[in-house]
Amino acid sequence: MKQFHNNRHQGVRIASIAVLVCSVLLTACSDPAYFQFNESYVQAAQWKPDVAKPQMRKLENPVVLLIESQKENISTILEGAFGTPDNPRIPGGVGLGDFLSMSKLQQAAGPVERDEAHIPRGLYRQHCAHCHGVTGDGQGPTASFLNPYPRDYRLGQFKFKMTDAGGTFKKPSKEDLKTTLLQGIPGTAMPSFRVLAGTDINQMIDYVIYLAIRGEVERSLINATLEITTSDEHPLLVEFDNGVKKADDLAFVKEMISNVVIQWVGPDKTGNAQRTIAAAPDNWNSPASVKIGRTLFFQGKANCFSCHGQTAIGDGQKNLYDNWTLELLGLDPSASDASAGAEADVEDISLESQLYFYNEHLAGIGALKPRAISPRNLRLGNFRGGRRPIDIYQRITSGIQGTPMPGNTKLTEAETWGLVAYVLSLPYEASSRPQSAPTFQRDRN
Amino acid sequence: MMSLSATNGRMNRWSRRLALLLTVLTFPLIWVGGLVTTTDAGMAVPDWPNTYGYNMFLYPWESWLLGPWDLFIEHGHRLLAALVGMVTIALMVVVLKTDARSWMRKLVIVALVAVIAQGILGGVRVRLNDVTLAMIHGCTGPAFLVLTTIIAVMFSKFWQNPVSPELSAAEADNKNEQNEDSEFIEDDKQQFNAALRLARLTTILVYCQLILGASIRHIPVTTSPQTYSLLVIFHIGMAVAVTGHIVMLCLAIRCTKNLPQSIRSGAKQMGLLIVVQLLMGIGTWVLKFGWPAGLGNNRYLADHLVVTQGWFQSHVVTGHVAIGSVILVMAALLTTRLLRLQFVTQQLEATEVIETS
Ligand code: HEC
Ligand code: HEC
Repeated sequence: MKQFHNNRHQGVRIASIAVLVCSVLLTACSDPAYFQFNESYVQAAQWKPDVAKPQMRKLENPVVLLIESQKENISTILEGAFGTPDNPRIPGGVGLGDFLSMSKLQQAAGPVERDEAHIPRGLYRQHCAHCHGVTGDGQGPTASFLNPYPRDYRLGQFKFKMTDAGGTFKKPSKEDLKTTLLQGIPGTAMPSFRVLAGTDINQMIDYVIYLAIRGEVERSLINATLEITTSDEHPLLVEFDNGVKKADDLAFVKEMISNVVIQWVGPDKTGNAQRTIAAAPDNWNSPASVKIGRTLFFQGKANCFSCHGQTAIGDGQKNLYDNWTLELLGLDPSASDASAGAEADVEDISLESQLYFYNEHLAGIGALKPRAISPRNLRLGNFRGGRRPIDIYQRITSGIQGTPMPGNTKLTEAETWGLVAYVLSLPYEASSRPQSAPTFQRDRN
Repeated sequence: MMSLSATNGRMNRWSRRLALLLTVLTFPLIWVGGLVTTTDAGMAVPDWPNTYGYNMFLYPWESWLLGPWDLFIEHGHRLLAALVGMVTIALMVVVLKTDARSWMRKLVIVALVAVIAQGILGGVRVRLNDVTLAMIHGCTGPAFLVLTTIIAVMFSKFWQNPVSPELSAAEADNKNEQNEDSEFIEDDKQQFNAALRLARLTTILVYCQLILGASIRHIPVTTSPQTYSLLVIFHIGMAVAVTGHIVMLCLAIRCTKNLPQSIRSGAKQMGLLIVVQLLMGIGTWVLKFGWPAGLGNNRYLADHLVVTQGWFQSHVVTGHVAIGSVILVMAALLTTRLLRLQFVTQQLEATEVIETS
């Protein structure tokens, strides 16, 4: 009987704490939605890259630090150009007018509700924000449980698209985003929204682009402010009180926004064109072609095995990071983004040894904990960007932006199709037949 | 014994039917209410108490039945709620007219006040478009279901005669046999008390779990990941605690002698349902967020795709919510019955004492 008594007290205690915590949390948390300032990028950008080791940022002595008034200035500029989560704005005179639609943005923005004509509003907050966050920073409430984390749009990098070609990354087209929303990303938490109406989806696509552009502009503004800041001078980027200078400052900001926008709208202002991939040759998945692919997989020319491993189960490299994580580790994502062979520089950096930057500067402001990204286990048949042969073709030739997965421009068409065929056959190949690779290559791992 | 059956003899057949009807209607109301949240239909109708300017009852039925799904759900929820309100009124009228039990009269008045308050809460939630109010509305719903269940139990056969004839005979036998061994009877009583205590505690825990679940479901999008993780971890911990308590409760009831069959099977059903509920909880997670890290690393699960508002997602998630309230009701039911049993047994003992002295 004694035991029941104990349980009782314990239970009541748990119960009362639970209720208390819930009520406190909920009252504390339901403040109105606002765009979160990109504090973690400020942290990362304040530490200039080390000259000797370009990817490392000096942790001891930040050259310059932004002060509160400068951050507020950036927020004011952003609000002037992009509005608020409830009242979005499209910055004028930067070429966005034909690309984004104000009425679509208005329906995607704001709190979840219906208007008199049963037209929904607040679609983004209804369907996306609990993962991607109101700001599009990938820090919605559910984020910390998901792996991979929900996308932070503010870096302006997207993985799955048909616009990349020839080793250069381009912004996705609306069509690309639509494919992502309709098909979802299997193997991750990113859902398919095929149940929703097509109009709803188009509205959210415009909103995602809007958030991404806003996020990138915010980063540029932070960079620009850092550039004019020295250890004893902290000028504002736009001096709203200074009648003469204000116009010049705003023109400068406008140019900065245009630089981001042009990457999205492309030369003809209607968005980047999707690449067309020539139809696969008839025999692309013949046994001979698969054999070509298998050979290449383990050769330096394609080098797939170095990441995806001897048995293609994704165990070739342990300490790989995507660009969103590199920033949390105090490393410069742009340094690894440019070239295809990203893995080389990051090789000797283990998560443990890198976490001090995060612990020091980012853990306190609520940034998500950095995680390594693993090369895909290709034997599970999980193709997140689509499982059509041309999807795989596109991944192999153009890579996956933001991740270490490189685009390979050295392969001939036949070789690439061979790799496609081999990759698609991998889930069905017995893994008890590990391929042996030349020893000098294996030693690298 | 005599006096007890005398009160109950006057129990009105209609109040009993209405009480039962009320419970039977409230459960689907909660289910549909859950569906409203699952499908984000809460704001499908922007005004209240009117529906798109129409009086709720005059809203054209073709637009309701043939209109968009979320409108169908939300307006249906309102109509069903109105029906529940009307049944509550009818029950109150009948009880006030026919039932002499003063606490029963109070109880039905409380029920009416509660159902009105709940309706207004739902309306204000729509008018202010406030998720915190939605969460409170979602928590008070099951509480009302508990209330209606308790009322229904009070009109049941069990209520009139919790100590069934065979059982009392058995008890009498026991007493005769072990009269000298009073320690044994004392032990039995303690066992009973432990079961009662566990039943009460389980009810409280299950309700807290419901509140936790509702806070997770109605989480404002501005909440930080840290807060949300805390809530989820709490919810999982509480699931363990609830399951543990239900298992203990089942054992305690199994070990208690002379309990009526209805209590025994009630406990068993609850034990079964908690297993279903745990599975539904896991299903909810997987259907909303995919496999938690690691679990999806095999050929069968790796390609799992989350489909927002897909058939499985909508129904499993709503089912998890609805079964939560069923478990709550079962716990409350068990507690009420045990309390009644205790009360009647004590009364019987008291009369015995008076008679023998
Ligand atoms: C349950 C959580 C969740 C919800 C809800 C969600 N996403 Fe995602 N989303 C993710 C995750 C996780 C990723 C990252 C996938 C990856 O990196 O492979 C992602 C990635 C994306 C991407 C990037 C795709 C790419 O090619 O890089 C876009 C765009 C996106 N989501 C848009 C949306 C939109 C729009 C909505 C709402 C309609 C939405 N998401 C709702 C979890 C979610
Ligand atoms: C530098 C390391 C690296 C190399 C080299 C590499 N990959 Fe990858 N690969 C990755 C990573 C990391 C991912 C996971 C990306 C993600 O999850 O977003 C990936 C993902 C993939 C995917 C999954 C795409 C999808 O839609 O889900 C395929 C297929 C793939 N790689 C094939 C190849 C092939 C073929 C090669 C050789 C030409 C290759 N990879 C070379 C790192 C690499």
